[in-house]
Amino acid sequence: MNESEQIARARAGDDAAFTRLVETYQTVIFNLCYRMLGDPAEAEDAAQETFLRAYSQLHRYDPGRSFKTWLLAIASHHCIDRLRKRRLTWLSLDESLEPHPALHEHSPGPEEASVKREQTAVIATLLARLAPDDRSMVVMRYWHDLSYEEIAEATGATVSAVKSRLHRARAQLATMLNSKPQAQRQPARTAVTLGG
Amino acid sequence: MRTPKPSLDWIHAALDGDLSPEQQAQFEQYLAETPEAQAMWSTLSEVDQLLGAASMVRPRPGFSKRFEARLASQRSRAKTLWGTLALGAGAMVSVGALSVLVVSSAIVAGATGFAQQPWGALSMQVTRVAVTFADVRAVINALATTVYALGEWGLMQPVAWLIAVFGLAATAVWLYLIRKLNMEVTIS
Repeated sequence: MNESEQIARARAGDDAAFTRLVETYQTVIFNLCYRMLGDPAEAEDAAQETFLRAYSQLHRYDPGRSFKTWLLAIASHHCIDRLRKRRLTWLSLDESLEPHPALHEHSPGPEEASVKREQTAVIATLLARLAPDDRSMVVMRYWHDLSYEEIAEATGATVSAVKSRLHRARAQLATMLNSKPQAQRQPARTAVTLGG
Repeated sequence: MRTPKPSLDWIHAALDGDLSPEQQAQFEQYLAETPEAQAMWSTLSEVDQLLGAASMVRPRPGFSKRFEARLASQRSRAKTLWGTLALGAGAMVSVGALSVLVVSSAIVAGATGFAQQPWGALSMQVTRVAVTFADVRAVINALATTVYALGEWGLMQPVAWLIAVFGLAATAVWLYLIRKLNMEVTIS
């Protein structure tokens, strides 16, 4: 059964079909929530809430649009709302975020794992300094490979506004990164799973 | 695409892969001639690489099971809340109907006396009707007394006060219940 059929079935009240959609997109949504909120427990709650909202609003979903983008839009708005309610305290650049103990690296070797943990902390610190709207755009762009047009669709902004905000965020991140020690700045791609 | 303006716009366009080969060549020349731009390019590229290489974080195993449980829990809560709402609405309708019955009976029965001594006649008639509702007699008496007192003060017609008080109470209950439903069940 393809995605369109699953969506059609879910809209017709087939819970099992919606659960399969949850399984398909759980990582995408959880990752966005985690990158936005920076806390695994809150990210889990926000991701669950995103799917509940999607479930109840499924009749409003336009099948002509990407389902992933639609879900990301819901998650992004929800996380921005949470951040606004939280009245986020901006972290000092000198305060590095420790990675959550529940974060497990799949990569072999303790040294590599250590470097990746540091990078996770660096990224979390950098993202935490961005305004919520900019943060969501950065996550959609870099983690989910959304185009400017897709981000515009998800956020309700114009393409030029998205471009402008992303460029500004990138410049802001660059400035912040410049103040970080070189050792913490080596990029490396790994898969990370939350356990426990 | 249009030729970007020098400096940051060039760098962002290059990072986004928006430059044509010709523009790319111009851009490289621009970087070679401008150390500040070279430094900015270097840092922005680093940001791009760092974010581009960042991991996807996965939830704990069993996410969809937890979702199913949460959905079931929300549905159950929704049923309870709708039941509460229905009960509240029923109670409000009953109280409203009772109030209308009491007041209208009092007005009809005391029409003559009302013309001469409106507040006293109304209070008397309200009290008289209240006798038939033994269980709520005290409440009706209190209500009648309140209405009478307000009438004495000449602020407003007692029936209007009755309706206003009832309306405020009903609105408060409805707002509370709908807010609760919005928070816990309705998904915007």
